[in-house]
Amino acid sequence: MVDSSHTRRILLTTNIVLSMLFLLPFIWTLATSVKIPNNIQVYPPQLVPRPITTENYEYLWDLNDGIFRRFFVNSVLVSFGTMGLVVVASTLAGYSFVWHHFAGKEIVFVLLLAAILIPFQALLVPLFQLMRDLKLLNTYWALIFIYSTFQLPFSIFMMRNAFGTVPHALRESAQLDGAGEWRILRHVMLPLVLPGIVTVAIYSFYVSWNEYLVALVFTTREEMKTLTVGLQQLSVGTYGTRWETLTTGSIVSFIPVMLLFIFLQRYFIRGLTGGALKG
Amino acid sequence: MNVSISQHMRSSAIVFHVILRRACQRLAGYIFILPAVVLEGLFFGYPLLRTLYISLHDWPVLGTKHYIGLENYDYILSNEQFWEAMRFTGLYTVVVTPAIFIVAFGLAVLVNQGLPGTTFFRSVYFVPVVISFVSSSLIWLWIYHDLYGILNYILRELHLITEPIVWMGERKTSLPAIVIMIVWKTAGFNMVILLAGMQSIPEQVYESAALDGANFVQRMRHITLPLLRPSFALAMVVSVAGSVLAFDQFKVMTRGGPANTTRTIMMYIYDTSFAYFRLGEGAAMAILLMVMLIALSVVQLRVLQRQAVEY
Repeated sequence: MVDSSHTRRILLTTNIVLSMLFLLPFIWTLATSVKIPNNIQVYPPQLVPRPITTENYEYLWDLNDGIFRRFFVNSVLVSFGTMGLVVVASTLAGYSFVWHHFAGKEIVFVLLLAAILIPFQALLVPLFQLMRDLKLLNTYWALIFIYSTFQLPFSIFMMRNAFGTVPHALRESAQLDGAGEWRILRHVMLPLVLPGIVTVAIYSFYVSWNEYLVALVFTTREEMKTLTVGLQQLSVGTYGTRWETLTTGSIVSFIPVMLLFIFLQRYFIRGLTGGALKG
Repeated sequence: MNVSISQHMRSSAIVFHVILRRACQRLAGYIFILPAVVLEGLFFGYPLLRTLYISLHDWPVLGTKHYIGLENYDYILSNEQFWEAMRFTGLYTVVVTPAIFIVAFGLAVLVNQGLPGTTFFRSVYFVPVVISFVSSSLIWLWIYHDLYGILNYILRELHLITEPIVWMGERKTSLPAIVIMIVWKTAGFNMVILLAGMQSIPEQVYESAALDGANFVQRMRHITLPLLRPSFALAMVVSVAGSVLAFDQFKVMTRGGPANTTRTIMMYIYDTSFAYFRLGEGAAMAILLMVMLIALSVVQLRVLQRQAVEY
């Protein structure tokens, strides 16, 4: 597609320069996080950290009786909880929408899809009252239920497409062999729709891990806060900004999603684009 | 007679079995969508209707609610703070959207040339997408630090500025600073959507254009851009909705300041509902926002699709 080796060289150089610019914020954050605190707020900035230390990480780990560890664990529990609920509910629903016939199926599906149009941000007030009445404020369940509810429509759509690609004959022959609904789903269908499940799982984990507004509204007790809310408060809290906490905490918060991205990149991008990109 | 009875029994057993099986299947269908329907009903459908209901009431957090009809809407539409937040959200959306798409399109072209290392570069441009808006705002606050930030240092070394800029000090500088952060954070996502669109354009179209002597720029203008309209439409709707609902980046980086000049509509709804606890007013604003957002999406899809047909 490119005309000459000259153009190719220009494009390659542009790629290299741009990717350095894109990585710079990460590198600068990492560099700051391994400096000794006295070397952080200095002018001119110390470009290469010297000496390199892990003291900020140790400090953060034990800060306020391990409150950061608690935030981290909260985020892990909420994200895995959401992931589990979304995977189970969307797999069952996707299977049902493709392979079962029941009254009102089309209406239910259209209503579910319409839910994609309406942002959860618009429903915060009634959700707050509902969670208060259900005594779920300051629990993991409040976040898990809300995150799951707003990721389900997309996930069901995804799983319906996944089940739609399974050949008809496969289910029929399993039925002739006398397999019941549950066995067909578990032993015949699941292996075939696994890529869809992985995509839905990664996507729901990623969204829950990074969410801020819902976590801010529904958790007010310190020990129930998730990483996004907790990190923001720890680093730009009431006592002025603590840059070593900010950079160190950010790096730690990147680790789970970065690992997901590195090892399951294909599923990750598919989840975000609704399967639009090849490769 | 014995034979006929047993035959009769067998055939009715089969009929019964078939009916049972059908009923079971129908039941299984309902049971399998039940978890999803319960969740959506309880935490989406019910709150949606309830937002409407709350918006028609004066609803303080303590004390009793009472029905006031459309008074909340009346009050909001004549409230200068509401319009200020709306104007700022509009300004932000109008500035950030073209910035994101110019960069995203450029990146998509760059990684669609079959150059060496394409997969690597594509991943690098995508990395900021996977982190949260909150941590991305936090680490850019450090980059934008007036005294010790790396950006002011570079600008001073290049003699572009003599005095350090307090980036978050006023809207004139904080808005472009946040727009740059958001472009870095979201361009990769839109790049991927545009890339998917580009990959679906048949290679032969380019080849015949090249035979006709069309150069790189001409091919971009007359082939890639027009054929990419559907991808642009999809990415735009998602991106514009995200900008209209912007919250995290302003909450973390400017806290809406100075003097509420960078307060978005979502921040104003949050403040009204959960800081001042005027729930009726918060719900009414949420309804207005929702209606506006849906209208905006429909208009965007209409405009972008109509032009695609004309081509």
